[in-house]
Amino acid sequence: MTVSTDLAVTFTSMASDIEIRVVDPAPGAEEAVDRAVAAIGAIATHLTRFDPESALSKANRAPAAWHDVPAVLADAISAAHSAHRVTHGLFDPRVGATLAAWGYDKSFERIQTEAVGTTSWDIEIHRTLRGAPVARATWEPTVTGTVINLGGSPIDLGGIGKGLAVRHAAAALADAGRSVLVDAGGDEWLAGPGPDGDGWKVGVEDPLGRDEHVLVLAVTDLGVATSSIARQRWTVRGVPVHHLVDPRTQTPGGAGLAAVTVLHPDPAWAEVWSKTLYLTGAADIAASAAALDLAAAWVTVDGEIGLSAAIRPFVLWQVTR
Amino acid sequence: MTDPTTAARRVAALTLIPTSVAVFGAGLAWANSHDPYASSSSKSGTSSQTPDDQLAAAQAKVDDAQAKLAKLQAEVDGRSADAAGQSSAAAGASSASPSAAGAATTTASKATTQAKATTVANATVAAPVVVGAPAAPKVQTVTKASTKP
Repeated sequence: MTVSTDLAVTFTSMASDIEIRVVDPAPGAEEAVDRAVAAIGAIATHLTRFDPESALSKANRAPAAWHDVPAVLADAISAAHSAHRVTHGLFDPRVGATLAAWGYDKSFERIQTEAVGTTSWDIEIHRTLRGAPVARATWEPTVTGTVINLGGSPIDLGGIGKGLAVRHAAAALADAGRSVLVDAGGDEWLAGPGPDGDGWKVGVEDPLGRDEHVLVLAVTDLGVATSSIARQRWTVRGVPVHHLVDPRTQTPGGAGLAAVTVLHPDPAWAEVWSKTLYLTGAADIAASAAALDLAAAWVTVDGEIGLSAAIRPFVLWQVTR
Repeated sequence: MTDPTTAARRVAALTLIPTSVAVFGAGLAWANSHDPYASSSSKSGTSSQTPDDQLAAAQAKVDDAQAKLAKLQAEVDGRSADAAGQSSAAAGASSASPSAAGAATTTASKATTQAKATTVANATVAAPVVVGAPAAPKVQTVTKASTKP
């Protein structure tokens, strides 16, 4: 009889609890886990905009200049540019400027305890009230090897960074064992049949704060990402805002939605699509998910749960209310 | 492991891979329709058919998908009815539904790439979902709001 011991590592990075778990580890699994941890660490180090010495922060200070950056940042800028083009601008890393104007130029924990508001906020609040589109050109960075140019605009890679971290970690763990889990604060990669052999059982958090999950999914060989306003919301001069900014209006997006979860073979695209679908709002998300054939689930601010056709085969259980 | 439910989920997962490639093209068209600044359309429908012809063809595919869904649902209902006792019949329906849903969704998903989103939404309404279990199964992980982006 063979007794297998799962290999599990937990640590904190990107202000999130990170978990890596390998079921029935293969020879070399520990080294693979080390590579995965290093890959996540590289993303956290070079892509943060909260550390003034990070490679991204340095590039953001001179966004029209050329910079030789770590390969992981060049790769992330290319990935973000692809997402920008494929979503026709709905994914836009330039919204970081708006978040900064709303006080989100420091780690989230500090937002609600420090004064916020700049002169630009008066402009943003005006736009909020008007709901007027903000004209802006397509984002066109240039990436040649490790030499990049941000195209004149500072960027925030928070909309794709965790997904990329999970993507890199998943690649490092490809042959690590029978099943693999990488969880970066809710953005996940789930490979293999899972501990019980019938898929990883993934709970979908209730964004309205109730203890019970809204769904349980059974997942194999897919990335999972959830975009939600359950935590990252605050007020600026009495106006409620959250971190999912609609680049078309530079205002909080996703009217009527509390959270969106997407399954996708690539964890980075799971994150991109969860954010992009969120921005379509409660009125349009069903049609958008169907048109894109995305495996998506969503919860409205009223607690209603929606499912796209493509996610239904993965739904093991759904809460009844 | 080879139980049918697991196999169905794996097949469904595999369908997402080619689907994700097609999604990029569909995404362009969709996002373009949502882009207030787009100056021209990048839709790739170069067929010589008229819009009415295309709509009719898409509707025919949706009708076909709905017919297959109805057939699959009938099979599921039949199997459930055959199960001994009402409680075991209900449990049987729950375990059978994912397989049927997987096949049905695959069929319906092919239609979604060719039909208008609003039409497709009607086509997918019939897809069965496993709901109403008395208690949530034990989970191994949770997808949730991140602490920070």
